[in-house]
Amino acid sequence: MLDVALTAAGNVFTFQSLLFLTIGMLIGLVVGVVPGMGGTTALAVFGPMTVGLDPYAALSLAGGLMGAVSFGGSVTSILINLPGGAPNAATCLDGYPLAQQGKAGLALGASASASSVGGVIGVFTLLTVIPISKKIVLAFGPSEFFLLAVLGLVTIAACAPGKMLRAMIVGGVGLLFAFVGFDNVNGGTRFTFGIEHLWEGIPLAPAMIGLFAFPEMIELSAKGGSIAKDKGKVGLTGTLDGVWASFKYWKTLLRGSLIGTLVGAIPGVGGTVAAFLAYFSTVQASKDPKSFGKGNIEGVIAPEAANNAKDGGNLIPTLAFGIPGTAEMAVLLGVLVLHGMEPGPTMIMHHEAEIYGLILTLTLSSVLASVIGLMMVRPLAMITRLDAHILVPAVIAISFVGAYANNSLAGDIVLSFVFGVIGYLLIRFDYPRLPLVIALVLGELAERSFDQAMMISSGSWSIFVLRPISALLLVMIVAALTFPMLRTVLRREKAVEEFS
Amino acid sequence: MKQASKGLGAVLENFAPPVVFLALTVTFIVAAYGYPPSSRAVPLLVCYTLLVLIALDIVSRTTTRTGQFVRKFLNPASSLPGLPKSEEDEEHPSWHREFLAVAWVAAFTAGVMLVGILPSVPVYLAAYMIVEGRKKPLFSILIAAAVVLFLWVSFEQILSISLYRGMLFED
Repeated sequence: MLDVALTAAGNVFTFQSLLFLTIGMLIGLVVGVVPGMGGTTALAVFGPMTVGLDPYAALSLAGGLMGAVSFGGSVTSILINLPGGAPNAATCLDGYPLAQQGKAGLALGASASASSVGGVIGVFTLLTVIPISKKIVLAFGPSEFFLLAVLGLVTIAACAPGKMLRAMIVGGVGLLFAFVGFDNVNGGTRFTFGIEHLWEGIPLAPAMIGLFAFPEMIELSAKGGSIAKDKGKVGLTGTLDGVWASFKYWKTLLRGSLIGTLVGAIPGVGGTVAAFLAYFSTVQASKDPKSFGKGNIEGVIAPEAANNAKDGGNLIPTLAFGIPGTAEMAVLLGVLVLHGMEPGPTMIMHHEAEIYGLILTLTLSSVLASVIGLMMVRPLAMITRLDAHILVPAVIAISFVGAYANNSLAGDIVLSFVFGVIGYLLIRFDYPRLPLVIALVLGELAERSFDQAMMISSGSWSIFVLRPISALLLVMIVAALTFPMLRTVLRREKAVEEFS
Repeated sequence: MKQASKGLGAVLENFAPPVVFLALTVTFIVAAYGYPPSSRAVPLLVCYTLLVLIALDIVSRTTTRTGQFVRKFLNPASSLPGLPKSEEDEEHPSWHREFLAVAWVAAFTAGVMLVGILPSVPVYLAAYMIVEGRKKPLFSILIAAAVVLFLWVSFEQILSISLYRGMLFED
């Protein structure tokens, strides 16, 4: 293994490969900043352009791009509450409030260091796990996937501070939206209500852009001023403090990275779940859960670490079995095929050096993209000082174009607007928005896995109890539901005791 | 402590959201029965669970003892219109200001659908900055031009994504 790793390193540390790594990182940072684009689109656009290149140069470009996209997306999440891609949405929760308090530099610094460390941990876990990866992936069947989806939803609802019931309702409505479009079982369309655009279902990117960018911009437009409530406070002196914060809260960093790697390794679950699960597990573990959503730096560290660590996890099923866990990995497999690497269990045997080369470029880009990103932080943070009447129309225009660009469908712009109004009404009537997003992500996986589990068990629900991992997930779901209620009761009793 | 709105308006504000969710769920239930049993099984499971949750939400919004009990365990942080809110609750802008802000975006969306992205973006940006932001016309036009140039270069030139031309001009 050492020989192969050294060969890979020798091929990666050439002028050509390093040049393409840098190009990939710059593309990744720019694409990550553009809302709705994400790594999948970027890989799909730039992957085929590598046909004539040496495989190491092509993999350097792909690795650089994949490693940098998530940090690019985090920049807009923190500065203007506009997630570059769905997995960056969790960073908005505390990153944007920090920017509003004039601490954009602190949040961006923490995001950069957490992304780097998360990415490196994800890749090293991948290296450790590759020899035993087959057992891990095969341990998850349809019943486990279904329960994992339910756990994701329940955890997020349970973590909505003091609004569990409302969060569950929004999650349920999100599931109904997720059922819109083609039915996996019969192949027909459902719940489209005669709207042709909905045949393919509700696309995630326009919905996310609407739900997250639009409401904040409406509020900013109606109130005036700037994102940073006190313009004089906007400074980037906290950037190094932010970098240091990730190490200060090392438990949060490690938890986020491990959750990201683990969730990333499960096909079909993806970075959004990883980031939100990392965020909410941090809220649950915190002694001060109420400070989250109001600008707690740990709320930036956890999802950022998970978001970058998931790339290493995603590569486990992709490289070990040729099963792409996400759309981004499917496109990456396409790039590998372009360079003569056939997907499947034999790939890692026949192209070991190239695979280690890809892993190395991913590690390098995780760290270097953050360094380059941090160098660009100062001008970017000034966005939070811009007058609302300049920023609002520009953000609305760019985000709506981002919603369109994802699939080149005009209907996505209208959909983005509709979800924007829904998002605003949810805030206005005191309902959390997040469960809607999570349900949209998990709905299809939950339904498909449920149907498959029922078919396997001939309609018996015992499949969710008899398999050990399923049973464990079930216990976790029950605990996630009861824990917030118990905590409420205990807090009340404590308050009564203190009062008396 | 600030005093929230009272009377019929407060009752409407209180019960309108669960009623809207209820109507949406019932619509999905009715539609679901038009599909084969295997296609409607999971959606119906979600719908009936939602009905229970919405019923609990409605109960939690009443000032009855049951309502207080449900709120205590499941929605302890949610506020009821008509009751005094805490200082921590964020002040929203007036409905009039919010409606105006949404109307600008709605007009922009309509413009994009009709004449396409490239003409709508500069018109929306410049109009919003001049009318709403009271910025100087030349400055507004320059900003609008810069944004549209950025969109054109990044999407049409670099990413080769043809931007929507609008219903009136699309082939």
